[in-house]
Amino acid sequence: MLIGTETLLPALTAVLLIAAVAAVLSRSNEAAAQASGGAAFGPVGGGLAFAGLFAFAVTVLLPGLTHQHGFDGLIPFTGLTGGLLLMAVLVGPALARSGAATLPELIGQRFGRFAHALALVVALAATGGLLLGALSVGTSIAARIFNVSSATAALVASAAILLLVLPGGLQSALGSSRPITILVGLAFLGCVALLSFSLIASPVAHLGYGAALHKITPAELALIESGAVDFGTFKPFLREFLTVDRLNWALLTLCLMGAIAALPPLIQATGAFKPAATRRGLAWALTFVVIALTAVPALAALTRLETYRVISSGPTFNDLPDWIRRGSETGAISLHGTSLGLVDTVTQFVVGGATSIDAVSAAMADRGTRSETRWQRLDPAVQASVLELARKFQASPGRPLADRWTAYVDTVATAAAAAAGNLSGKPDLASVAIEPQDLLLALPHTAGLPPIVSSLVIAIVLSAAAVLAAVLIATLSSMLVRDGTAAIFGREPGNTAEVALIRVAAIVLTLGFALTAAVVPVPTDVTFIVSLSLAAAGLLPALILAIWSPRANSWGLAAAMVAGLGLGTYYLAGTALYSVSFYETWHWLSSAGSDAYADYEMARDIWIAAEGDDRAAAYADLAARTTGSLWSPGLANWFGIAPAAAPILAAPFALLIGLLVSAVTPRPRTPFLTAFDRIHGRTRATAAVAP
Amino acid sequence: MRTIEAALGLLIIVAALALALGAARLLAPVPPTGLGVTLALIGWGATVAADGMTGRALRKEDRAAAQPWRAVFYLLLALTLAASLPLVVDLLNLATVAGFPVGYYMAAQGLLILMAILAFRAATSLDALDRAAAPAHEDD
Repeated sequence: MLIGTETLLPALTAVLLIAAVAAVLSRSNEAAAQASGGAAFGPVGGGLAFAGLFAFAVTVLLPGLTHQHGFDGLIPFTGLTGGLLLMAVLVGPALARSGAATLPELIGQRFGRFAHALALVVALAATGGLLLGALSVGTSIAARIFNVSSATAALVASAAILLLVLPGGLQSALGSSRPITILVGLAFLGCVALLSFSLIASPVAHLGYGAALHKITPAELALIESGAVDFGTFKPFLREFLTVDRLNWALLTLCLMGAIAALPPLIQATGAFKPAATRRGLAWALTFVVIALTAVPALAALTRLETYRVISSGPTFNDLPDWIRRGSETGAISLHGTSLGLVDTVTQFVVGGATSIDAVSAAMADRGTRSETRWQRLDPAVQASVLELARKFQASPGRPLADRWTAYVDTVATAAAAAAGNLSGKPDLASVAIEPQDLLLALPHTAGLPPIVSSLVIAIVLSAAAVLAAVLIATLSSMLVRDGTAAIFGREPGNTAEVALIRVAAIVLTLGFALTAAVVPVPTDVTFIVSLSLAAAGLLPALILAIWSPRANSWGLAAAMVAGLGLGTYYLAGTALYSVSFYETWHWLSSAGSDAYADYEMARDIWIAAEGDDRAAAYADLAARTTGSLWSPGLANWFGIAPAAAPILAAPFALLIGLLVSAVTPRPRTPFLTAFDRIHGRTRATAAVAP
Repeated sequence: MRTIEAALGLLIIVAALALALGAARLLAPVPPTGLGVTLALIGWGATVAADGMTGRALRKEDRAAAQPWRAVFYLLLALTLAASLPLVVDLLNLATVAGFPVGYYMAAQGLLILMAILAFRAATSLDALDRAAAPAHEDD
């Protein structure tokens, strides 16, 4: 449980109130504004609102990724910023000029009803996946912080989201994004500056952390020499291409760029800019994102260096410095998988009547998958020691941190270290783990700042999550109503009916997605990858054909989308799920070469000859050879391309198919060509043909 | 001059494809270039060609034709920069500035700042071409 609970609720209420006031000020009963953002913002204000959509990723997802993977964790940095540049160049003011509010509507104007419906299905799937992933992470954090069940967190999150969506759909959600972006910027940059000043005496972390980087490699070498490193998990901070190889580093970056440029909620949010300000607005949004993003590696590097410094000084568990003790109190820093925060959480369960390990396990499951997994990973003896200490804490509440830390080290940490085979009484690097998603959230408390600061940072980050979810809900509900009715009935409902339907859809979708995220265990990395792959493989080619190819017709569009999604899905599923048969079929395209295939054939012969349990074990060996990770291919691959980089094959293939099919089928009819000209701000009579 | 630039771009693309197919073996016993190098070379070739085509269109004062080529130029430049960084990161890391290994700095900050600068340049350039191409229908 993160600290600051007493001030947390007022802080969260205050920040959400600011967002809600901004949402009400941007209210609208116009269907177009509900769906498109209302073309109300200039470049700087709109850029701020747009950048707010990345606030949750910058503050929660990316610091942990960079901290864990070092250089390889920088893929999203180039991917996000490059994607925004691509969007400014590729899409620009196209949506506003066309008069369309959504991406499927734009496709519909260019290619007709069937294409409209096809684009709608893919856009809904891509946006829905992102929403589910974001809600899953958000509710899991909220459940841990407020010490409530995931379902309760989901319901409260739903209320917050609806507060931002109902006044004016996308317009009010983006309106609320502006103040939250400013607050996130102040909180995030303030925290990083504070950390930087306290560790390297430089308040400008962006420039100053070079000094920390300079010390990181020698510190890592010293730790390796002293044997304090587990090579199974340790990744040197500056060492490149340990998680992802060189080729896939580039390909994953390109895929992310393509996905960002074609992501339906982002494209729809460009409708918030005044048409003439769209490109400059996106450039401003990119600038704000860059200002925040460039501070993230500083946070990760400084945290790493300070951890190295502590471990290399060789303290016992009891001598660990205050920042680790406070970090452990928040649950963000764990020792051999346990923390003081975990004991505090179990104490709450004991107060609530949980008296056995089974009862605690059930209560943990109620807090979400993450908490349950961490609890289940513990050795039974460690679980028993946690429960015993929790009972003592319950009997004597309000003990100071120093007392609780000593009791924790003497019982739980000692038991956990023994279970992990660490009998030295000292922590090594692998035994001190920092929860990736809590790197920023726990920073103020870990640094010893007053609880109100900690509460404010948490409240601001949770509000940023609510804003992101609100924008995704507004996008989904408007696409569902506006494009759904247009695709099915051939026309949109009247303004009043459409606004009412959008609001009803927003309520239903919010509750449905929030409860699903709370109840169903969602593998967020897979969800995000599938959503982004849908956008890059299915929607990006469609968007390029719609905006840049006057010759493209509905046949070409449909063929492109089907080909892109088909190839992308085949490659992703084939290399990740059915890798043995994929490698059998395509071994001649694999980057592993013929020697690897000869080794594989020997293993396959063993599998064919084996029987019973041996057969299953032999197949598992085959699968282990052919399957890699999402980021790094096993034997089953084409040209060494990782499963998550499938769109790098799918998108060009889709474009090629789309252009070929368009070339051999009839030219698009005049209304569709008129729509093309409108996108480029021209009329049919003065139209110039694009290359 | 612009035609030469466009032709040079095409030449780079052809050379990249030839190297990928192992043409370098005719001169020296070196293996074909990998997918990453090939993509980066093709990207640079296409970027140079797109810049040449933009220049050609502008020289003919055909701003309607220049606009999409300019957009393609920025698009390819962004993609190529991202694809090229992993190829040169080790080399760049040999130099250190203010404590930052330059390769790491480019991935963590340099390329991001460059993207932002490019976004402003692209916005200014494309907006200007838009206005010039369709003055009667500009919506601002």
